[in-house]
Parts: sequence; structure tokens; C-alpha cells
Amino acid sequence: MIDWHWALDNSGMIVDLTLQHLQMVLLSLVIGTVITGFLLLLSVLWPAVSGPLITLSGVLFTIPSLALFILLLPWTGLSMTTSVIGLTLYSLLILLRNVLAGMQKLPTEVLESARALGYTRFRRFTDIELFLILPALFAGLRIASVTLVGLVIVTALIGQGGLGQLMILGFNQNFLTPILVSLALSLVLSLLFDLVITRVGYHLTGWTH
Amino acid sequence: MIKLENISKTYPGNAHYAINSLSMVINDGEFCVFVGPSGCGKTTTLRMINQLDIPDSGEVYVQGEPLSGADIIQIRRKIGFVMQSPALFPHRTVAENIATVPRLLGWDKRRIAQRIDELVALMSLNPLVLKRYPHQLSGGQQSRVSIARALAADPPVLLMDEPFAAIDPVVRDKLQGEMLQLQARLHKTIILVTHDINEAIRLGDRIAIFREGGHLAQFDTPDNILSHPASDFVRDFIGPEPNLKRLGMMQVGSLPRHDVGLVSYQGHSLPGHYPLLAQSPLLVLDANGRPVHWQDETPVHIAEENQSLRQVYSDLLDVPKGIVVRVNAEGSYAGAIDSGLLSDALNRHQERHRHD
Repeated sequence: MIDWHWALDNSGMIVDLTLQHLQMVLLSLVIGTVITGFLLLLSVLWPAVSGPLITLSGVLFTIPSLALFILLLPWTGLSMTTSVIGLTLYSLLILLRNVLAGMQKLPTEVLESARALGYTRFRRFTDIELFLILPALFAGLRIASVTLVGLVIVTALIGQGGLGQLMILGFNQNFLTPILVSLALSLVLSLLFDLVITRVGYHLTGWTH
Repeated sequence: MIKLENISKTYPGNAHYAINSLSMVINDGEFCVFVGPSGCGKTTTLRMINQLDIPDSGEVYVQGEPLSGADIIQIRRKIGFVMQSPALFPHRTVAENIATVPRLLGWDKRRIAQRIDELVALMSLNPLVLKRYPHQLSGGQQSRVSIARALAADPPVLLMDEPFAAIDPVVRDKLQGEMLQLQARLHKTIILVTHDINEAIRLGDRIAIFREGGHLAQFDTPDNILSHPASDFVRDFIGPEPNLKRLGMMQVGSLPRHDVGLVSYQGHSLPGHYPLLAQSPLLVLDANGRPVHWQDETPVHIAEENQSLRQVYSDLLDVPKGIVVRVNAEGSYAGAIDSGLLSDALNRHQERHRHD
């Protein structure tokens, strides 16, 4: 079923595409996390924006991914930038929802005692909330990373796509091997992200276990 | 000194006052207990003292300083606060939790470490728990850490919002005892909120009994409240057996000494220097002055100086001759108690407070 010779002959390209895939996911995750942190701080300083942000991220998430990429085309063209912007937006929505929901579930009596002991609002955020929110952030990162590994494939339709390129190749040539290779490798990437994020999260939240 | 002046507060959506022009003064070094039914405004009043709640009108003074114009963050760092749940920071070790306020105040590491050692000793914590996270501690230990955290920067004022409400009765009893010992050493101005009148009677130098709408039903010493409740509301609130509760606050050592007739083991009568009880049978003492038995060989019931009079009263109901014999720490005879003496003690206590 699988043409191993093809896979071997094209191993250089397969590795390149895998790395490109990895790069896009990582880049979007990192930028998404940074922007999430920024918006989180915003919602701490102006609590009123927290509700609208959650609603907005919910609504944006329902836009079909392909539509989003096509919407971006007039500005950024068929480029890596287009796909990273789109992917970042998706990761941002997932992360922000998780983190904001997590903020609302923080134990009120702990935050209250921080107030009573004389914490300023900003210091309460950096010393306490930021740490207590970590489990929610890492739960979000796991979902976002797995979602992104899948979404990168879609960006093949705008000329990017990492392993998605192999899918297109397989479809165009009616040739199963590249499709299976692409599937298997994205699965491995997903598992790898999940594993790494879980381990890192475990070490950063030593106080929960 | 903490002074509340004409404090009023309403909550949105509620037409009634949560607190209606409340004024009170809590003196320096006083252990003051706020008690009352739920919804009486006692917790809100407590929270106004460090501005966790802000009054609609009126002014709160802490150490003479009005809070409305003060830098509340700095004020809060000088007021220890203990909440109903220990509310420790779960991501910080016990040591880091205790160090919270000193760190906010910018103390150096050595001074903080030294202070942690002091507090560990003060709160009889096991030093091994310092490196643990809060969720690894028992409820009682968490409460101790929470109190240590509140005391860390040695604040002159300590506010406690039902600190022992969620703790099992045995540990609660122990922590209450420790609070009293702590206060005997530290002389903080403490305000503790509780809904348990017995806790209030045990801990308070003065008790403020609140009723709905933040009214002070009575603000006085436990003994005066028990002997002279100001209203039916207070009478109902302090519950039955006020005299037993008053006896519970007094100790054997506070009674003036009375004697019974004394004879030595050899049968010689011994001189006494104190007034005799109304019924005064002869008590046999050994060579060291320890009570042996009554002269007709019925057994003697003894009480030590720190025993509560409530316990003595209960014992008196079924001891031989209706008399309990006092002994000192060495076990030597130190007087005798009958029920008449307890009645006198209750009456005299009242007289004394009336003439204060």
C-alpha cells in the first residue's frame, strides 16, 4: 500500500515539510500565548473587557478556517505570514477562552486574602493570579497545539501547509503514499506537542500535585 | 485604638441598611469579639476596618488615622487578617506564605528568615512543614499558618473573620486556647468575628453583640453581658444557663479562701487562718499537708487552682459532704469550696462590675 521507495527518495522533502509544519505551529502558539498574556493583563486592569473578550473569541472561532485565510489574502497574499496570522488567531481564541474562564474560577477567598494583606492590583496579578492560571493555560495550550497541527494542513490551499503539501500532492497524482505519510507524521506531531506541553506544565505547576 | 464613627452601609438591591449609623471604640490591646446572627453586619463591620468593604458614610479610624484619606495598601500591611478559610496561596510553600507581608514591605532575606523562625515557635508549628505546600497540611495546621501569615510583620491590629468556624471541635478548642495564650504574650488589638456565643465568651475581653441591620445590642464584658443582658434579644442570644457560663469563665484560684476543720493524721487538730464554711466537717491531712480523707473516712474530692468553677459546680452536686477541697500545685491543702461560696462569687462579681 505504501510505496517505501517514494518515501525514501523524497525523504529530504518530507523532513523539510515536517519542519515547516512544526515551525508554523510553534510560531503561532508562541505569538498566541504572548498576545493572550497581554489581553489577560488588559482584562485585569479593566475587568469590564473580560466578558466581551470571551464572547468575541467564541464568535471568531466559528468562522471557517479556510474563509479566514481567504479573507486575509488581499493584505498578506499567499505567504507564510497569512497562514501564521490565521493560525495565531485560532490559538489565541482557544488560549484566551481557557485563561479568562480560568481567571473567573480562581478561588475568591485566596484573592481576597491577598487584598487584605496589602497586595496592589498589579502585584496580585504577577505574584498570584499568573501562577494560579497556569493549569488553565496549559490545558489551553494542549488543545490549541493539536488543533493547529490539523489546521496547518488547510493552509496548503494557500500555498503553505507543511505536511498539507503532501496531501495535495497525493490527491493531484491519485497517489496514496504521500497522503498516508502526511497523516502519520501529523499524528506524531500532535502526540509530540501534547507530550511536551503536558510535561512542561507538570513541572511548572509542582504545587498542584 | 480603632474607632468607628456613624458608619452606614447599604447593599445595592437591598432597601434595608446592612449597617445603620454604628459607632464604637475598640481599645489598644483589647481582644474584642463581634458576635450575632447571620446578616447582622458583624463581618461587614470587620471588613470596613481594612477597607475590604467601604462604608457609604461615616469614618473609620485606625490608630487615630482616618481611613478615607489614607493609603489603604500601606494600612492593610499593618493590619493582620485571618479569614474563615485559611486561604493560603496554594502555589507558595508554607514559609513563602508566612513571608508574604514582610516581602511586600521589602524586608531583606535574613530578617524574613529570622521572623519565620520566631513565628514557627510562636504558633507551635513543626519546622518540617515550612517547605510543604498548603494542600499537604491538615486543616488545623493551615489555620496556624494563616495566623502566622497575618502576624508576620508584627502588626498592632489583628482582624479575624470566623477563623475557627470550619475546624473540628477538638482542634477548635485547642486553637482557642492558643489564641488566648498568644494574646497574653502579644497584647495585640484583636477583633474576632464569630456566630458562636460560647467562643465569644471564652475569648473576648469585651463582646459586641450585633443584631440585624448592624445595630449594637450590647457591647460589654462577657460577665456583664451574662449577668445583665441589656434586652430580650441579648438574653435569647446568650442562651440558657448564663450563670453556668459565668462560672465557666472563673477559676478556683479566684475564690477567696475558706477552710474546713483540719486534723493531722495523728488526730491533733490543726489551726486555720481563714473563715470556715457553713458546714465544716473535719478533714484529715498527712504530714505534707495533703488531704487524705474526711474524718469519718469518706473520700475527698479535690480541685486544682486552674480548674473552672463550672466544673467545680458540677462536681459539687455529687461529692461527699457537698464540699470540694482545693489543692495547690504540690497537692497540699489550700482551702475548701461549697455551693454557697459559688453563689457569693457570682454576686460579688456583679457588684464589682456595677461599681466599676
